[in-house]
Amino acid sequence: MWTERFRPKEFEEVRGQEKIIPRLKSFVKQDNMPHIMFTGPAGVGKTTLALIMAKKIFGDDWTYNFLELNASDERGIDVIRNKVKDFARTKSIKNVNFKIIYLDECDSLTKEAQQALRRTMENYSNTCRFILSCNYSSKIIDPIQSRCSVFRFSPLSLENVGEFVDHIAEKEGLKVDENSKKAIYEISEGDARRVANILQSCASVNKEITEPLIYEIVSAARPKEIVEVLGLSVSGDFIKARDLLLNTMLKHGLSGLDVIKQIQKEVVSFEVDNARKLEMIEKCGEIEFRMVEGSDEFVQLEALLANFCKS
Amino acid sequence: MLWTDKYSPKKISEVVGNSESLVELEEFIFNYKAQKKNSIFIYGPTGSGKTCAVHSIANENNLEVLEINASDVRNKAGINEVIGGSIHQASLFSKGKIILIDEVDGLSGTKDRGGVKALCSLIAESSFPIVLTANDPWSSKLSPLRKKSKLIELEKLSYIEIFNSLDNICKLENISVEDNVLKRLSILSGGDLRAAINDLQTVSSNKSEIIMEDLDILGDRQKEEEVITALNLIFKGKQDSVFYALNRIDMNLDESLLWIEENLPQVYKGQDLGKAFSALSTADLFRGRIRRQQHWRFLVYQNAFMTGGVSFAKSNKPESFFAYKRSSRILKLWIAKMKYGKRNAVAEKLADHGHTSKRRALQTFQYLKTALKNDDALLNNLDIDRADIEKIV
Repeated sequence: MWTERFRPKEFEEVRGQEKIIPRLKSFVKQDNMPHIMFTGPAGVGKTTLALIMAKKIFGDDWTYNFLELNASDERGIDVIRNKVKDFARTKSIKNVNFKIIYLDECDSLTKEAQQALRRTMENYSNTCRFILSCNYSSKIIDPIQSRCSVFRFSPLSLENVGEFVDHIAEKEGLKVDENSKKAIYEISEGDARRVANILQSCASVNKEITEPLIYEIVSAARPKEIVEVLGLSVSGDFIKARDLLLNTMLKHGLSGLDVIKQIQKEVVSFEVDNARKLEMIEKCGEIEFRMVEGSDEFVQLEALLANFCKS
Repeated sequence: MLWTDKYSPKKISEVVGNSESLVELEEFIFNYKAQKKNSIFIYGPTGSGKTCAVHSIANENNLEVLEINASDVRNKAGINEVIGGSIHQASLFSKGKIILIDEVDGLSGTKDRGGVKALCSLIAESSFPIVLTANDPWSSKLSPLRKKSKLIELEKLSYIEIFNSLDNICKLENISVEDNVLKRLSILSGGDLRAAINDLQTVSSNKSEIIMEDLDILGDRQKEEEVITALNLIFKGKQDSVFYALNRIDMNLDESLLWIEENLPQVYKGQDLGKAFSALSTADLFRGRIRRQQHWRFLVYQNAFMTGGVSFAKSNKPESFFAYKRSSRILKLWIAKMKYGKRNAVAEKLADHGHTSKRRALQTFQYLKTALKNDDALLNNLDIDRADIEKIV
């Protein structure tokens, strides 16, 4: 998988995080580090830098001293109480006197799990350091934030993405023109993982990558049905719209948030007058907010569609 | 013979679902002397196997069960009469005994006065394990019992667990039945295995085959009539009493919400529909808060927005007659989960390989699927079957 083949192995290869890297390097140099929290959007290098640090600090034995856990798959309090504690309380087998636990997507940990984590971080700080990673630091309880030094990652710029594309193109023998790079940047929203995936999908069709090819690949990723759902609901055919939406979500395995993000994008280029367009976008925002707080995503989406109807 | 008796579990391993909690219960009964607390308090919804679990442990290990349930008078005198003396006496014919106080939430405030207190002193003195059961353990009158007991919860059984049990019974009874029919029955039961088995026996009524139409005779029909009355009140009326529309039906709010959601767009159109769905969205918001914070007080608001919120959203009274339908969304979700299980398996492999979560791998998958379709080397590398990809792309 290209996301792995082109995952940077040295600090110098990581793009776009110039402010953060020198400080991480100095931790490695001292063979010591505090608890760390990485916050920022997806695909900007949080996991990559955690892996690089572990490899630099522990050398060849890094896998014994490094535990990677994914909080969004294993987000209950049990994981913190069992897996994390078990790993944390045994000593490191290297001359470095601590181990590292990398806890990815911490924002999906439940509040109780975060509370459990907080004590664990303190009790075992002799034998274990944490690197926590999350998209939104606001979802992490204050006591945890106060125990970490926090690093904020920025999204990749057009230039960063361009360099990354060039790098892959050179190794894989692809031809990518400037316009295509721009298109990739816009679609990827500065997410390097998505850049690699788009390129790999394009390359499996044609080594010469053009804008139309990119859009073809991406439209396969974004089901067309969503536009249709939008059209049906604006014209007032609510029942058809919601049936199509439910079937599409099930068929493609989309979550409510996936859908609402895409609807919001489609609204921007939808054929309605500007005032109405803004109303629709506002409604998207309101519903996205409610989705996070509510319990049934589909009811929330229905509320959105019902409010798109003009008459 | 009632199938619920005929197929009641004889061993703890035969009790369906909740395996972790059941191990805890077994552990408590066997190592009773070593426990800090003298009693264990099992709670959970109807038909989740509370009483069943106790009896099956007793049966398997030749223990005597001394039971008082809501049918007995449970004031101080009553309790002491049935159990009082025996808490120290060894059992005559069995190795030991379990004292089962069933349905303690049914203790009556007036008729069973002093009951909780009597139970507490029983717990303090007993030389045998005491098991209490209840649907809802959280009422304040039970708090002395909660403090004295180890609490374990049995959760509502899943459709799949119920489905499997029903399927098993059908095989033993030589009844041929389509999966769809059993699925429907499992879902109708709402997680109550006892009800599901009773329903199954009712619809089969000595036939060797069950078809979908047979399900029509179930008591659920009466429930549906009540729902229809409530929906009419909400959708067509506009009076204040609408706030109580759902109180009269024997159905939890989540299920009522599905009914309203399914049928709303039939009755309301245009802006009315938008407003009404906004009310449902608010109701769901409160439901989310209830789930997350266990703040049950919010039920009042969920209810208010489902009834009044929807009702007052309309600008004029709908006239015609509507045929209300049961929501099929949950069934569809369930079927899809079975059908698209493969996609999850693929996402899991992507997640393992790519230092990422399954959730994010699913999103990644959308961008990578063209490559997965075209590139055999990539499939090999990820150890994914081509056939699996063909099925899901």
